[in-house]
Amino acid sequence: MLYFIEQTNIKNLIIDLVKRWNVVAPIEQDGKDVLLEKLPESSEKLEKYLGRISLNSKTANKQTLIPPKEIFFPQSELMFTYSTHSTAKKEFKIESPASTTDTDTAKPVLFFGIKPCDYYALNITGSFFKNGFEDFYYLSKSKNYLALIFGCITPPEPESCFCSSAGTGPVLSKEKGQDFDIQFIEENAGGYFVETGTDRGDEFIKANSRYFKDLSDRKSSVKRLKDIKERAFKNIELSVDFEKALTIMEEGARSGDTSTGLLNSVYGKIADRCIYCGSCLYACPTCTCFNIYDSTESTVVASERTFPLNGERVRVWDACVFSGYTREASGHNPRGESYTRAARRYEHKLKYDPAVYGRSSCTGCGRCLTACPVNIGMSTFIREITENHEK
Amino acid sequence: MKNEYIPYPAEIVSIRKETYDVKTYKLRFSDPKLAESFSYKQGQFVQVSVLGTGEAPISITSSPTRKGFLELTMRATGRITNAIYGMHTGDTVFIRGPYGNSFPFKELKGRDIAFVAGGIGLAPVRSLINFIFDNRHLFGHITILYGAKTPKDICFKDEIKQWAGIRDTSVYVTVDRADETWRENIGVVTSLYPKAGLKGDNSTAVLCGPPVMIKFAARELLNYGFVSDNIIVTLERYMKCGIGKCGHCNIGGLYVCTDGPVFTWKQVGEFPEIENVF
Ligand SMILES: Cc1cc2nc3c(=O)[nH]c(=O)nc-3n(C[C@H](O)[C@H](O)[C@H](O)COP(=O)(O)OP(=O)(O)OC[C@H]3O[C@@H](n4cnc5c(N)ncnc54)[C@H](O)[C@@H]3O)c2cc1C
Ligand code: SF4
Ligand code: SF4
Ligand code: FES
Repeated sequence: MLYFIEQTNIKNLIIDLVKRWNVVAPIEQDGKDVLLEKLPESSEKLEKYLGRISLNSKTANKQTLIPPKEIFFPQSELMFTYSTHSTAKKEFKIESPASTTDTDTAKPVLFFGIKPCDYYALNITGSFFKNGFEDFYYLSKSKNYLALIFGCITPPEPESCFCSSAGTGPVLSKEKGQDFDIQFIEENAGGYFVETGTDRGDEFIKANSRYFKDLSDRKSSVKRLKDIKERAFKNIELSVDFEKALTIMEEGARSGDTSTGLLNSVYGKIADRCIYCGSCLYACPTCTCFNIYDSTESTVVASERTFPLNGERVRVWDACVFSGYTREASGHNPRGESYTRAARRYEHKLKYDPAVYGRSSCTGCGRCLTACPVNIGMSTFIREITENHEK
Repeated sequence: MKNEYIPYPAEIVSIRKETYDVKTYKLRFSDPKLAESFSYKQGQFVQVSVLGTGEAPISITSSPTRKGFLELTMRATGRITNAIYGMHTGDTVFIRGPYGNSFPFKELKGRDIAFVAGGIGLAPVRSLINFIFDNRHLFGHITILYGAKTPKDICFKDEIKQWAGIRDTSVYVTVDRADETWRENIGVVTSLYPKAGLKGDNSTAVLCGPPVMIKFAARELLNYGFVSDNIIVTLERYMKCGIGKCGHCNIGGLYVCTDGPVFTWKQVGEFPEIENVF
């Protein structure tokens, strides 16, 4: 179905939505960076946010500095608190915050304004955390979330965005088999076309029908939307041969293939330049690795534990490019050599995830390149291997 | 939805000193219902917590055939294992699990089995050894080859003697460096192969130990007619979550914590070259 919403109605819609949803929107910060923030319910506080929402391509279409995974998988997250009085007396307590009712998570999350590539990223992290053992924290935070996608008419980061190569943007189309609930496409400064792709999307429109005008039967609108989408694709400046890269990576899995030598030499070159800061992986919307540690009020030295002992078990983002990531207690480190860590980072996205999930876990969002202090990124890696691969 | 990350209190019922830095802890969950319902398979591991210090993956060394308790054997290596080393009977640790795959039962049934273990690597295979002895009629000849650095590093001394007395079972122990009391074999564990008369046909080998030992012990088995499908190894990787989420233990598209830690030598041969497993 196709609808239209006037620019002036966006504000009122949000004011309505915060009552029923935990609305998360891209908010421009003082330094012009855009970050996802939860909108407050009180109208007074909300007012301060409404003027800083970054939705329009002409004004402030910026990519969020930190990817949306942080809403369901925060950089640092409390797993549970513990208190124990001694190991011998059975006085201890473990409490998980998410299991005691957190009023904030009782309302489902609604992303108001998420880029198509990030919408894909959430699908990817969501299925990862659901696969096999279910991840309690991610899944309880993300329960019943809804994403209102805002397509990119012009790419927010023209030098980094390569979504059209990865097949995740800059706008989505049902005709291409792309699933989505709701997508907003800016028509002009006056408002947005709103497309629904599922019953859930239609229900959302119905529940907020006073803000939306039904255009489904208007041929001219359908045509105009098609034109805008085509223009969006033309506006993408960076393109890479994603499919070819996937093929090369797959071939590289068979040892002895010509691709293996090429890949190893590219990993080596990257390893020489990379400073192993991990920025690319923290910025990546589909990287999910984490570390777990205990943080205690008193300092605990080996076996000399002092009581009472109160603290928290915390999980934090981690990155496979760090040398300690795979170091075992015995000192043995399977990925001690730096090029093996460079390889892991690319092979996970372009070789193993396609093999296991049937799709790459790189969305082409370009954040890794933007974040990298020495200018290495997924798009540069893909160009390096596809342009030097003869066949 | 169950929160898999929450560990449950378990009391140390008894402690046995194996060597100067290894102890075996018998544990029982404090919650009687959990103590009753907790079930596991030979080869699986648990995540053991010392609150305030952290969590470490430790293999279950008891056999699932012996119910109501859980045995873990730990070498004091770092923060957690040292904290537990300093604990006493009646103290509490926290446990979640069991995790990982297990030694295959169907594939082992009816076959001769050769165990090759090094150091504390005997702990995880001990679970399978006792499982087999509790179901003795289902398996063929059992050979146990065990290597330790010095006689002082040998774990499960009394039990090894007991095993040697079971019918259709041969046990050989070797040390890298002997002392004046040592009367048995000296040399690495592979030096026991000729003595034990290992033969690949109708035999499966089960290996556990430090990475270098596994590498040489498995390669040498190929010279004794074992095919890579019939060589089973258990691998160690740095682990944090134990449930396929944190990413630390991944090898290619696999996770050692959920797809392993038990693999065939054939699978190991298919691991990507960049993964320096040994
Ligand atoms: C599936 C699996 C099964 C396992 N089964 C067993 C088992 O049955 N038994 C067993 O014993 N192990 C087993 N391990 C290995 C065990 O998990 C590690 O040895 C364990 O994680 C060590 O934890 P830790 O906190 O004691 O060491 P950490 O504190 O993580 O120590 C890491 C390293 O740092 C060093 N270190 C730490 N603190 C200090 C310090 N204060 N000063 C100097 N150096 C320090 C240690 O020497 C050690 O080498 C298994 C591992 C896996 C993956
Ligand atoms: S990669 Fe595409 S969809 Fe993502 S922000 Fe850039 S232009 Fe938009
Ligand atoms: S690898 Fe780079 S381009 Fe791909 S999803 Fe991650 S941050 Fe975005
Ligand atoms: S230990 Fe976390 S993924 Fe295996």
